[in-house]
Amino acid sequence: MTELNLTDSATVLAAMTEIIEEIAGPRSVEITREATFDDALGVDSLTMVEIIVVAEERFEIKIPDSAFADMTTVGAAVDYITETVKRAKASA
Amino acid sequence: MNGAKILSVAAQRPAALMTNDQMIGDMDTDDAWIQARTGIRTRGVANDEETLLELSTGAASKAIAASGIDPTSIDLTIVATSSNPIVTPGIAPPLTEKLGVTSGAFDVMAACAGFCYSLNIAADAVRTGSARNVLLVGAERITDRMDPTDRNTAFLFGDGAGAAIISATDSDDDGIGPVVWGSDGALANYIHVPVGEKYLYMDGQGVFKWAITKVADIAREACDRAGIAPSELAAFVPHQANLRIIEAVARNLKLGENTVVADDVRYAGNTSAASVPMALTRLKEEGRVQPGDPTLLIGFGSGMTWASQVVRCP
Repeated sequence: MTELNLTDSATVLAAMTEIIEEIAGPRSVEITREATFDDALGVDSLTMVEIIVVAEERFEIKIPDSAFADMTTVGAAVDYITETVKRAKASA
Repeated sequence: MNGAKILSVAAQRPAALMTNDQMIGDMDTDDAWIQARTGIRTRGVANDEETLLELSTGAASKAIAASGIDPTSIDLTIVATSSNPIVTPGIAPPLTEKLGVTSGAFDVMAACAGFCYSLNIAADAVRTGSARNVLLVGAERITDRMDPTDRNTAFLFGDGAGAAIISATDSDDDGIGPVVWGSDGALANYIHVPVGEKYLYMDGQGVFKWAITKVADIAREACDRAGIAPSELAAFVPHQANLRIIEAVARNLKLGENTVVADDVRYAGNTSAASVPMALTRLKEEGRVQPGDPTLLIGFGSGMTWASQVVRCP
């Protein structure tokens, strides 16, 4: 996904929305930064693993298990991804 | 060089099917949670009379009958199992005695990949002329290894046996594709019985994460070696570990919209080395696959180990 600016939160949110709907199917509520994976979006821990695996591939980053335990909201996931991409670019 | 084909496949299931409600006991869970996480509704639990040998004999007898071969033309018997209660002898030698044959006989311990590993061994044996016919059995009494208080494993596994007859055929009639097999011993602790202990331990999340990426890659390679695209498969028969894994892998593989995906796990639970032949047998019994259909088999599990091949459905 080198053509997308993955340091931009809005871009990453759109990409994550696509991934969530691809793995979990369309959601009955809007996927916003504030949406909790478990309560709002009905994404259980196994589906979360699948989403994270696809995100790692699409964004070309690694997300350790210790990090996604804190990703209770879509916003938390988006922020982690954008920060990781920024750090990777800075050290490149 | 001969060809190799699967002549028949059959299953032997325990008489008792335990529901999720019957398994729960004092654990903090319920039927809805178990079905959502695993897809499992019931699993077979063998009674004292349904020993590993009896389950194996039942499946083997049915497979032999369905194949139409003379049992004395079986030159090799392989039993894939990881639940033999004794160190020696294996299950295969007493199985041959029960069937009235004196073929070569040995057990394979490759956990949930055991059947697919052994299928390639059987295919090579008939192709080279080492055997005219091979009896291959995958059999487990995995529930003997379940900690009934461990929420991570207690509901997942079931008992049973599946068997197949692999036979030599003309080289242009070959029906067993090239195997893709391998291992990652660094992950040996993902699924294991600790030394000196009785019960199976499993890192469920680690296994899930590994499976949803690695298994699809292995399956794609098996298809590639067989010269068929995943979208052209008539059936996909993965090890019945967990319906969530099966569904995730199927999504990743981009199967055809008419490709049947085996789901015996709903009824039988995870039967380890028995799961692939049992699942294939169910598809045949339900008329969801036909003889000759290109069918992808994949076994994967403790080790971690894996083996996969495309076959023509018997």
